[in-house]
Amino acid sequence: MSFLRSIKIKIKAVSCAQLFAYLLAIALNGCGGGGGGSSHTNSNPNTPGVPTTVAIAAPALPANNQFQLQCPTVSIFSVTAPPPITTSAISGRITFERVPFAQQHGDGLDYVNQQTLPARGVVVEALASSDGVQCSGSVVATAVTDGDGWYQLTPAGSANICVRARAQLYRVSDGSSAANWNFAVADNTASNVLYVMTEASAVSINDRPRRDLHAASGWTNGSYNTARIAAPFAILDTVCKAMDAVLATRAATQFGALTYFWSTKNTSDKNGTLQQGKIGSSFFNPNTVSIYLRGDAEVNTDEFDEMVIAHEFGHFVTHTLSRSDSIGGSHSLLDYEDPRLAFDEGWATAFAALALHDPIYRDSDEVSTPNSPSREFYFDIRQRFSNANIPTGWFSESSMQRALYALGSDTDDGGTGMGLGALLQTFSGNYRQTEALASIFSYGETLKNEQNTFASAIAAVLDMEQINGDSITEFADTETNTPSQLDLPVYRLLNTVGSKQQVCSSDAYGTQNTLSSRRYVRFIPPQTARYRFTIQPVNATSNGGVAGFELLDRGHSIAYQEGSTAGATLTALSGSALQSGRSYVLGIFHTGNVIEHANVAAGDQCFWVSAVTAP
Amino acid sequence: MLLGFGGDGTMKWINFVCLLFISACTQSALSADNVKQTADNAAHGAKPSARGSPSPSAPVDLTYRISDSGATGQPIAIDIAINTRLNAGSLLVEVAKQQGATLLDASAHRIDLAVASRPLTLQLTAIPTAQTERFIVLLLTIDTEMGPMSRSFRIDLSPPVRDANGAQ
Repeated sequence: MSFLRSIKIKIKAVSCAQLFAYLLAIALNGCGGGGGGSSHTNSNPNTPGVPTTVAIAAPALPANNQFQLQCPTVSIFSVTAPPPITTSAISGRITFERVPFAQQHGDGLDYVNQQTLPARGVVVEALASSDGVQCSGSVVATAVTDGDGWYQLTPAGSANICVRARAQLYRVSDGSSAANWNFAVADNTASNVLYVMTEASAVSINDRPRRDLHAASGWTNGSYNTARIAAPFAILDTVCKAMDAVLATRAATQFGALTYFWSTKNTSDKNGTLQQGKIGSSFFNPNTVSIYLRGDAEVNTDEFDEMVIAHEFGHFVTHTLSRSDSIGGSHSLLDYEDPRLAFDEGWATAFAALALHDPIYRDSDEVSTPNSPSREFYFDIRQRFSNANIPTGWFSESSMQRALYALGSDTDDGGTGMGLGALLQTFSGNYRQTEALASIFSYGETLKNEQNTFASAIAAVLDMEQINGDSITEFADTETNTPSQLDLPVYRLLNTVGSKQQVCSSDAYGTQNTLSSRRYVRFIPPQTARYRFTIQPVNATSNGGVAGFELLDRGHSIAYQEGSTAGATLTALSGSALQSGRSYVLGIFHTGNVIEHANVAAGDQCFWVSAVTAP
Repeated sequence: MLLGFGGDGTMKWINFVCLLFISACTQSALSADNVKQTADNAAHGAKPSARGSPSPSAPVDLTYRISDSGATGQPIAIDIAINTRLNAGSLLVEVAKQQGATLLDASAHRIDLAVASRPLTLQLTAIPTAQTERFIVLLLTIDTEMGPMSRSFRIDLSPPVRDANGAQ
């Protein structure tokens, strides 16, 4: 039975209300499901085939919106000096339980030492009960909690009131700050509804002026036995930290909307739909601007895995404030990856470490065996390995996370001292318009240019990762490090009509998103015109390559074509006219190395690439 | 200017004709390919995954296919394909949990990645019980240059039958 609809939780009463232990219901649309159809908890309808965001409906403007310039960290109240009780206001504190990680790496979550923490910056609403008892009705006051979880609501009217805490951080741009955000936690297995926590019944302000709501983890007697109400609020607590890491140097950041989808059904099984909870792993979906997290208590939960939550937020940061050209897909620290993927994954992990001030990535697991006792996947992102079999360079997310962490961390942690703010400044500036693909090359060159007082330090950090930091360019013209000389240059140059360049797509490091599965050609049109590209397999027999082609303009795909016949020449049009003198990138590949289920064998296949103007 | 017949223009004209000729020869020698083109050229093209990019994990993945939903007491065949890009080290496959079904052989399997033929496959047989929620959890531990790394996978044995790669 879904805890959303039926599970009762305890309210932790304080001061004069200590005699009472209230049962609260956490409900989709009000207490006991009696408030169905509330406009505050619905989801956006999806139009099939059209990418859309999954925005949770905005609450009413919080009364203290103007005072919330970041995720709150301070409070004028305390447990010993709570908000004064008045006849016209309801006040209280919203708290949640966090299950921390054990001290020892590998031991996973420490359920014995759960912590009660304030839910900061979450939206709290006063509902005027429509029948005087049920927690359904119109919202008559809205506020957000402060840095210690306190809230104060001043509802209009005399109706019995029910307090509801939404799993939502929310701010509207106003005169005090242009910053805005709408971070929500919703259930992808229940029509994308927002999680909320409410009282069990409505009463008058006079009868209950102090109303504290506590979200319990649900862990009792060695397992999850009751509703896991803390999960959405724990997720938001980490989002709070990640958001503040950005706001610390970019106070007017307009984040917009981001939805975290979490469910107790979200599991490591991916044989099914997202609506079934078969998400496979936690991930960021740029098309819907949403993040999916696991909650399957039998296998793997993510709600207390702060690094996982912040890592995915890092992807949101590049998506929203900057640019990501990542092609996604499975990846690991030991992979030789497409440079776009390596850079974006490395960034996301480095961002998590910088935002949370912790260089140890920890992802808990609920499963262990005597042979494999570790209950978490963890690593120190600073760690350097001398083993030559571990990839180091522009194609390694391990290198990328190490480099970006060093660039953004303090000098006493071995960093440059530039700070996360400097990295974000470059991410949100001219880097967005670089004509090369988004990789360490375009980012490194831009960062060096913009932070020229740190140029030597930046170069040194890149050199440590066997990237030519001294003369780094966006098109990697000087790069010499590679596991095989066949992987260089990173970009071939094509700037004349009629000439041709040879590139070779390889499965030497795996398929789909690995180093050299796609090869890149920098195309500089000699004149502004439409172009026809020819991708001709060097082996023009039935054993030859099946050509694939993508044309990218500053990272955006503007033309894409894939063949189906081995050894056949592929021709592709640019579509619109390409501008003279500007650099475009051609991604050339053997479909067997890139396309999942292409029914084409992977392998090393070379192609001649040429361009002519087209009518 | 290409139509000019004097000096450099003549050479350009010849080059142009040659280019047409070569192009025509190429087209005739190599059959034109049947192509798939994105209806919307702004589409992201050859992205390998529709589910974004997963968070960091051990370098091993798993897909599976089950024979049928399995009536109580009737065996379910579970065909497992294990994917890893590592070509050395050892991979340990263990059954960490069973619920609603009992595996006929729940012993651990150790695979030497240096010699094992690809794809890495494994077949398990489960006998479902009367419980409606049926699943097993496998824990895959791979020895890497960075030390052992584990990843757990849930295999849902409840109906309906599902395709191995996420399709319904």
